[in-house]
Amino acid sequence: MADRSLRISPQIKIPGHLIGQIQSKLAYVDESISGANVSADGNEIELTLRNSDGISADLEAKVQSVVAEMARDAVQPKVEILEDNLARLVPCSLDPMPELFSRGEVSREHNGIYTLGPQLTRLIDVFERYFLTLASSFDAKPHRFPTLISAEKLGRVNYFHAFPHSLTFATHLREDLNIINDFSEHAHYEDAGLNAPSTSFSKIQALLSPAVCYHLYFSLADQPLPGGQLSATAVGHCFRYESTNLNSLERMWDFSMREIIFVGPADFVLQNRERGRKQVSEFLEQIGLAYKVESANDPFFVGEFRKQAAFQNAFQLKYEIRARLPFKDSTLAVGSYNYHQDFFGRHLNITLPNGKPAHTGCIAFGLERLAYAFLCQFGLDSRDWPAPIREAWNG
Amino acid sequence: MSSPAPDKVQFKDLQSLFAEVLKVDPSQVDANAQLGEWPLWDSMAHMDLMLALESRFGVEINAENISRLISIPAILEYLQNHG
Repeated sequence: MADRSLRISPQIKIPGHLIGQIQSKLAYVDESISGANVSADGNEIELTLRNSDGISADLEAKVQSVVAEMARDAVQPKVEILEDNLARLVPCSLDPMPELFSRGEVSREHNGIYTLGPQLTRLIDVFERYFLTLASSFDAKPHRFPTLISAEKLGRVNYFHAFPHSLTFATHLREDLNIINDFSEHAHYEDAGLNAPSTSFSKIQALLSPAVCYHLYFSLADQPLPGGQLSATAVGHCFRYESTNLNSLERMWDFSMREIIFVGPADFVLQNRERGRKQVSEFLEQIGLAYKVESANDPFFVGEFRKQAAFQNAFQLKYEIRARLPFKDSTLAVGSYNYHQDFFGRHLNITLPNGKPAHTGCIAFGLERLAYAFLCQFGLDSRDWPAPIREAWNG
Repeated sequence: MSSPAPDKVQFKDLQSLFAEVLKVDPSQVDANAQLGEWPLWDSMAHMDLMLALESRFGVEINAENISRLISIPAILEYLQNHG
């Protein structure tokens, strides 16, 4: 049976600045939805539905509630563009994915899970060398963080409330001989999942980490901040489940992120964030990347979205580096400059010498996305790449 | 009891609105309270307060004002100038 479509007229017109945000959230409304499109005028939603036997009776009500929660009384955001180099001429306008697949440079292991070959790995290493140099300029101390992250600690910073839709849980079989033996004998993959009963698994104590910097904040919890301020850097795998929005290297379930992290008084964090932005800007100019830096917000889930996004926007807490994808005339976030005010300091009891909660911020780069956007603009032949990247590649 | 027009708002009106939103006794609301300085007034509470100000006093608060209205004196001044 073929997929079918369902058109819904939202009871509240979707404002232009929320079309993308609402479209992405519709993936989480119902398991029957395999795609969603909001018309450019915000007056119509078209859902693509899997070939299920029936449509759940409350599907339209759920869609309407998402629109209402996110769009009702929405505050028109200030769009602040700090850098605009989108018009830079770049030599390539082809989607590199087909060629990357055919060369074996990218292999899809599962939805949102990709392995990368030697060329992409080496290209990421080139970017990583630059990021490590950047981190050194802040005297950022290197750290290694685990892939798993504590459920207890994530709960303490309200993560479950703000981003429930993108969580990835880690579990294990319960310590019970019968359960383990039964699993060992019968476990197999069927109907798009492992057939083991959910009662075989332990309670969730850990998740796969959704961000790098959280680990640093957790390690600093419940104590005075050593030295009153610090800079750190780490690279790690991050996991954000994005349902039907998962899409090639643009949107992966498992991706890697390099972060340079600042903890201390507000001016220390803000000055370093700004200094970092200027240094990165020089680097992106040297390599000729077409991009812009503009205000953004985190992908909060429906109930939290309206307030949290408006707050982030009003206080200029997040800016994204958005690289141009010439083949489809759109942009992709490849990095971000973030300031969390004293959110983590307050929730995790990280205190400054004056007894007040520490402020935090970070500069973050999505490594696969950056490499992908670079290839979209400069192609796969390293001889055509900008000199600084080519030299680092050969060096 | 109806709410006063924005330009007639006094501290006691804000005191009662803050007490309702933050679920505290009005006596705990200081006339010089500030976002971030008073632990109860955090980012989420701030947005609840902004929405409550809009509906209680019929003013529109845009993104720019959300970042400016971060103390009770600033809110009072804003309301009194937007009657």
